[in-house]
Amino acid sequence: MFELYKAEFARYRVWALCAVVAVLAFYGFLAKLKPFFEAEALQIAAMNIGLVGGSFGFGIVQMILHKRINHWTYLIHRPLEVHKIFIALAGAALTIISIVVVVPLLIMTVGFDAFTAETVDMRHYAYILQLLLTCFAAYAVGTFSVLNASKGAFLIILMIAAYLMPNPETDFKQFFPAIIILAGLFLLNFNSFKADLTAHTKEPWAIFLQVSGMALGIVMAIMASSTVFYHLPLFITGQHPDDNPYDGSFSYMYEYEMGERPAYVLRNSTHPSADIYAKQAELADQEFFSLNQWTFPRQGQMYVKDKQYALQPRGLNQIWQFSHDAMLLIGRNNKTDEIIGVIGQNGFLDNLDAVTEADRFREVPFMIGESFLETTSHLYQVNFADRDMLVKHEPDAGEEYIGRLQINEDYIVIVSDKKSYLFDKVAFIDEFEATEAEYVVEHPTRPEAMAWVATYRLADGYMMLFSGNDYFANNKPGASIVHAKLGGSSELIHEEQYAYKRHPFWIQHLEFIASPANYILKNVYLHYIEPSETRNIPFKDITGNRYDTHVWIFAGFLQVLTALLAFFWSRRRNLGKAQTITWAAMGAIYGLPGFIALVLMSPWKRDVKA
Amino acid sequence: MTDYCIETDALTKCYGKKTALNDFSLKVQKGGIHAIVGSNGAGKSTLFRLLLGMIAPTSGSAKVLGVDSQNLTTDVRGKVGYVNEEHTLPVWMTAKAATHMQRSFYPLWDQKIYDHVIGYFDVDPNQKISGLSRGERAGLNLSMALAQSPEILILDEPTLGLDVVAKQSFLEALMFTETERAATIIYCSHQMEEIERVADQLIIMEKGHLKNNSAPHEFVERVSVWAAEVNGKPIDRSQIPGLLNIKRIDDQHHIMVTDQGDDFPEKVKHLGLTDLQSMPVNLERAVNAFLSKNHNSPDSKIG
Repeated sequence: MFELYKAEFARYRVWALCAVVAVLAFYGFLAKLKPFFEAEALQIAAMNIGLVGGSFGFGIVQMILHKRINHWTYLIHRPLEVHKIFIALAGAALTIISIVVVVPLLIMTVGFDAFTAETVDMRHYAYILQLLLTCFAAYAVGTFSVLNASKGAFLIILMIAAYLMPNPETDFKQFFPAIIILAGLFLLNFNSFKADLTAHTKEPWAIFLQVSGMALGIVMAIMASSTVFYHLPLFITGQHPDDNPYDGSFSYMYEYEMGERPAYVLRNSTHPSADIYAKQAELADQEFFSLNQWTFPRQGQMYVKDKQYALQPRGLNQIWQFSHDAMLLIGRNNKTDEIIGVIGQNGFLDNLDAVTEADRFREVPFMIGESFLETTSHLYQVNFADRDMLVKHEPDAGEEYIGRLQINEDYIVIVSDKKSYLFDKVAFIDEFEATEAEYVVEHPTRPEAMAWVATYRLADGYMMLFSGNDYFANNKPGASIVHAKLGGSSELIHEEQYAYKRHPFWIQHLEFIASPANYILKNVYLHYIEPSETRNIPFKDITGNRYDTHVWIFAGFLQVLTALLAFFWSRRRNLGKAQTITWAAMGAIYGLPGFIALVLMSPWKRDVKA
Repeated sequence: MTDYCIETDALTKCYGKKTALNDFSLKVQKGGIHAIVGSNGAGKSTLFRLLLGMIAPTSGSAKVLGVDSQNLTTDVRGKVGYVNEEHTLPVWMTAKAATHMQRSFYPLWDQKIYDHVIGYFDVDPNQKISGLSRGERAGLNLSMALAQSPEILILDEPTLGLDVVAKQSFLEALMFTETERAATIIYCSHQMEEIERVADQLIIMEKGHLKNNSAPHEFVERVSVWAAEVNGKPIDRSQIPGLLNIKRIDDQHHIMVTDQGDDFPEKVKHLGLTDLQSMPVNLERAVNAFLSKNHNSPDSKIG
C-alpha cells in the first residue's frame, strides 16, 4: 500500500511544487499590496476558488485518470484490497493538498509571526487547519463524484459550501462538524471505490448518507427550476406578479418612489395627521439604515471573518490590531514596526507587561472606522492622539447591540435588539465625550423581521418606515410609520398588515414544501453553530406558527406521495427489500429530494437481453 | 479439485439493449496457451472485464481459479496476471521504480524470470516509462506480468502496434515462460500467424457467442475448401451445407465449408457443382472464413 502511495505521490509532486511556488508568489504579491491578514473579500474568494475549488478539481481529475478502462484494471487488479488502494490514492492526494495549502500559508503566518510586530494569534494558525479540512472535504466530493455511479453525486459540494462556510460561535462548532462531514464523505468514497464502478449504491446506510448530502443541492436545484416551470411561463404569458403588481399587496409598495411609500402605508390610517406625514415624506431628505443582526466577533474566530483589519488613525502612522489571544488592541508604529502600546477595556497601557486581567476585553469588539470599538454592550471611542478611550454609548439596561455602528449622510445610528439610536453625526465624530442619542425609536416589531428602515427628515425629527415580509410574524407582511421626535420620544403613527401574497404559497415556501426535513435540518444545524445569524430559523419557530396549516398539509401530502413513488419505483426496478424500504423511507423523510435522489442514483438504462 | 482455471456458465452481459456476451459457457483447462480470437465487438474485452470482476454480469456466472469473479480475493488476483493492449503502466515512473513497486505486491515475484524476459527487450531501468518505445513498454509489462508467477496470464492483444522485432521478442519471451512455468496463458490476438505459432487451444468468439474451443489443428480439420466448376446457373447458397464462404477465382468457385466429410461432393451435386477437388486450408484462412461468415457487409450476394 505504501508503495502505491509513493507512486501516486510521485505522479503529482512536481505539480504540487509548482502550485506551492505559485501560491506563495500570490501571497507575497498580496502582502505587498495590503496587510496580508486583512480579510479582503477578493483575497478570500481567490483562496477559496483556487484552493478549495482546486482540491475539488484535483479529486475529479485524479479519479478520472484512474477510471479509464485499462487504467482502472491496472489499478484494481493487484493483490491488494480495494480499500487499501483507495487509502493509498487518497493519502497521496491529501498529502499533495496539504503541501499546497499548508506550506505557503504556514510560511506566511510564521514569517509574519516571527519577523514582524503583526498580531498573529492562534486563530491565524487555526485557519490553516480549517482551510485544509475544507479542501479535504472538497477533494472527497470530487473523487466521490467520479467514483459513484449516480448522476448527481457532485451536488454534495453545495452542502460543503452551506455547512462549512458560516461563522460558528465556538471552535468546537467550527471543527467538529467539518470532521464529521469529512468522515461521512470518506465513508461514501470507501463504499464507492470498488472494482465494478458501474454498480450503484445499495447499502441502506450509504443511501441515507448520500441522500442526506445531496438533499440540499437538490432542493436548490428545485428552487432554481421554478424559473422554468413558474416564472418564465408567467413572464412569457405576461401574467407574472412582477409585471402585474397588485394594489394593496406588500410588494406593491416598491412600485412607488421612496418618498411616496409612506403615503401607501398610511392610506388606511385614521391618524389625524396621516396626510400631512405622507406629504412631508415626499419632500423630505431620505435615507436608509439596516436592521440586520450581525454575528459579533468571537474570541478565536477565523481571521477571514473579521470585518475590519485594524484601527488606523489618520496621520499617526499607527496600526492597532486586536489580539484574540491577549484580548487587547496592540498598537505598532507603521514605519518602525515597534510596539507602541496596548488598549484594554479600561484604556491605554504602555506595554503588555502592564496589563492585568481586569484590563482585557471580555468580548472581541468590532473595529469601526478610525476610532470606534463596539461590543454588544459598549460603544467605545478612542482618541489616539491623547491616548485616551471612553465609553461613547451604552444601550439601555437589558438590551444588546445587534448591529455595527452605521454612519449615514445625515446621522449616525446604532441598533439594539429593542431600539434604534440616532445621533448627530458631527457631534458624534468630532466630540470626544459620552453621547446621548438624539432620537431613540423602539422597534415596532422584532428587528429580524425587517431588513431596512427608511428615514425621512422632518422639521421636528424623523419619520421612519419599518417594513418586512415577516413583520407580523408567521410570514405575515406589514409596515409601520413611526415619528421619532427630538429628545427621545417616538409615536407609532400607523401599522398596516398586508394579506395578499405576491406568489402562491407553493412558490413562496418552495424550499420548505420541497423538503421539510432538509429545511429543518439545515436551519437547526446552522442556528446551532451560529445562533446570532437571523437567517437561520430555530426549530421552535419553524414548528410554531411560521407556516399555515395548509402549507404543512401540502408538504405532508407531498412527502407521502414521494414515499409511495419511491416504493413503487424501487419495486419496479426489482431492488432488494432493504433497498426498497430505505428508498421509501428517504421519500418519506426527505420528500421530493428523496425521490429525485432515487432517480439520480438508479441506472437510467436497463440491461435488456436482445 | 477442478481442472479448469476459468469457467463461465451462461454468462451474459448487456449494455442497455446491446448484448455483448450471450449465454457464454466456457471452460479453460489449466496449462497451455489458449488463444481467443474474434472480430471486433465479439465480446473478448467484455469477457476479460467480467473475469477480472470489473463489471457485473447481467446473468450467469464466471469463476476464476474456482472463485466467483465478482468476489475475487486478493489471493486470486495475485495469481492472475493481466496485460492489456495499451500496456498501461505508471508512465511518470522509471522502469526500475515501477518494477520495484510491482514487486512489493507479489510475494511470489520471480526476479530470475523478470531478468530473463526483460533481456529480450532493450529497456533502460532508469528511463521514465513515458520515454520507452511501445515495444519496450510491452516488454516491461510482460516481464513484470510473468515475474509475478501467475497461474493465469491474460494477454489482451499484447502485440498490437509492435514492430516485427518487438513482436518476435515478445513471443519468444512468452514461449520461454510457458515452457518454464505451468502457467495458463489466455492470449487474445488478431494476428493469426502468432496464434498458429503459440496456441495450444483455439477459442473463437462471435457476436458474444462461443463458436469454438478446441486445438487449432482440430479446428482446421473442421474446415474444408472445395474447388468446383459451376454449370451455368446461379448457386443456391442456402442449399450448401456448412457453408462459410464462396470465392470465384477465374472459372472456378472455391467453396469453404465447415464440418463436412468426404461425401460433400455428393451432397452438392444437385446444385450444378461439378469436378469438386479438395484443397488445403491453413488456420488463418479457416479462422477468417469462420469469422467473416456472419460479418455484416453491404452486399453479401455471390454470383
